[in-house]
Amino acid sequence: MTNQSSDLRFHEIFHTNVGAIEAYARRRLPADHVSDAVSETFLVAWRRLDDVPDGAEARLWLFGIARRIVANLRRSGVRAERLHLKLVQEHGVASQPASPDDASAHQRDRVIDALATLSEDDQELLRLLAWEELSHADISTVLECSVNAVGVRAHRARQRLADALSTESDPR
Amino acid sequence: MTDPIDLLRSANPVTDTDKTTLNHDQMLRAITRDNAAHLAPAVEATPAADRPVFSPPPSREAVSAEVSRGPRTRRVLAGVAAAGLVGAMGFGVASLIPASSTPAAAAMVNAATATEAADSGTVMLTFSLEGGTDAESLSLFTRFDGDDLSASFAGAQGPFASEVPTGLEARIVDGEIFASDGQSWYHVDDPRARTALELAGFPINVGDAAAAVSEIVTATDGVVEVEPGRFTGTVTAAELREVAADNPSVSVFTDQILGSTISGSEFDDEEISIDMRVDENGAIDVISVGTVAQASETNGLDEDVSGTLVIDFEDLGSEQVIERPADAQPLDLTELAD
Repeated sequence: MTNQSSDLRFHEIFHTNVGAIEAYARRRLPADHVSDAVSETFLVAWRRLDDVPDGAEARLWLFGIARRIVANLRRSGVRAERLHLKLVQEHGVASQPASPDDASAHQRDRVIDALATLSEDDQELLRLLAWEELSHADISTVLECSVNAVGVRAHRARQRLADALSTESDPR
Repeated sequence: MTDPIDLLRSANPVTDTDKTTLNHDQMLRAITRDNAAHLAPAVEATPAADRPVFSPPPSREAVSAEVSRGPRTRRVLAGVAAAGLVGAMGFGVASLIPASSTPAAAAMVNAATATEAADSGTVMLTFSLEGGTDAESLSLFTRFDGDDLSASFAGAQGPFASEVPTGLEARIVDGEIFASDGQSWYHVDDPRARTALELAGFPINVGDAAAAVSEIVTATDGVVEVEPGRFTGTVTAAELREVAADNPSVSVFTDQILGSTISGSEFDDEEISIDMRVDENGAIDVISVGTVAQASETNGLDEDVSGTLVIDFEDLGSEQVIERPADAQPLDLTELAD
């Protein structure tokens, strides 16, 4: 592969996926960290261009890279997710609800609060499922585990989220 | 109750991925320009075959270890099991088409055939899910003699403990169905009783279930005799689901292995490990169906998850006395379903 064709390929990968990667980062980080996360993700892709799969798999590969970078940023002192999300919303970066039927802000806070009670692994799996709208097979690629494991984990995580929501709505 | 995933979806803080606060063009130029000289992409540095594995096949070590612990330990781990997979062991042998013509595959199928032909004995069936704090198990125990059987949930740990009525027992004696809540016996005089019991969680659809074991074994591919009398191989999730499709007695457990009810076709190519041991009479001693997902060094997951179904046959051919419960009260089917 020549340098020119590499450049072309990278440009295509970047333009095709930057929106999804930025959204991924915005869902998990405060606004002032999003640019760093996206830049670092594509910098890794540039350095390891030969490892980036073709087609739709490229996005999953990038999600996998972004996941680690986001985790590193959060470990390095970024605020907790609940605060992140509130900041994102307060600063107007968050998009509007997709439809008039979307949950109210109160309902959204309640769900986010319930999500935050789960383990980080459960949270990330559920976010990939609900926010990135990935299939189990796609999630297995991002998390580098078997599809079956994703199924089992998703089932349990969904149950735990339901339990957490139930507890919040019926505190005893 | 609203699906929690739907609720979470509605709480998505970023639903419009076209909106951006970043200057993408500037970012792209910075990455490519600033790094072009000394961070050029490692073109063809990594052959495709050496690239990171995205979906590593499930390891079968833990499944094998589970089997090798022996029946006593498994009982301790998970109690007893299994109604439906056996009751009609005397039913006709299903049409068997070995997935492979190797001697090992043929031996495996022969063992399943011999097991299916047994008309009495006991079966323990245990599903266990282990991984971090998720350890849980569900066990059933069945004694069968001809068409008579006794089936009971004999153990449940973890989340199953609150989901499964472990005190229940069902018996079929001379074609009549009895159920116990742990205190009293009831006579269920209704042709829909078998179905009702299955829906209540009792896998007593014995005819289909008995054949299902053979079908699973028959579908097993890549069979290897890893030690005398012990065989391993794999089936795909699609094959396992197909076997279970019309058989609630099996699907109660295989759904757990397959990741429960969430989904469908994305599981199709997933490999499920089969580990089977044959007894001295050439029948199945124990068969383990399941998979282990191991956390990789890089995926950030700090736990392994293993879903395993262990079917343990004992005393095949020995007489089992299934007694007709005394003083059984008539029970309305609607009441049972509740």
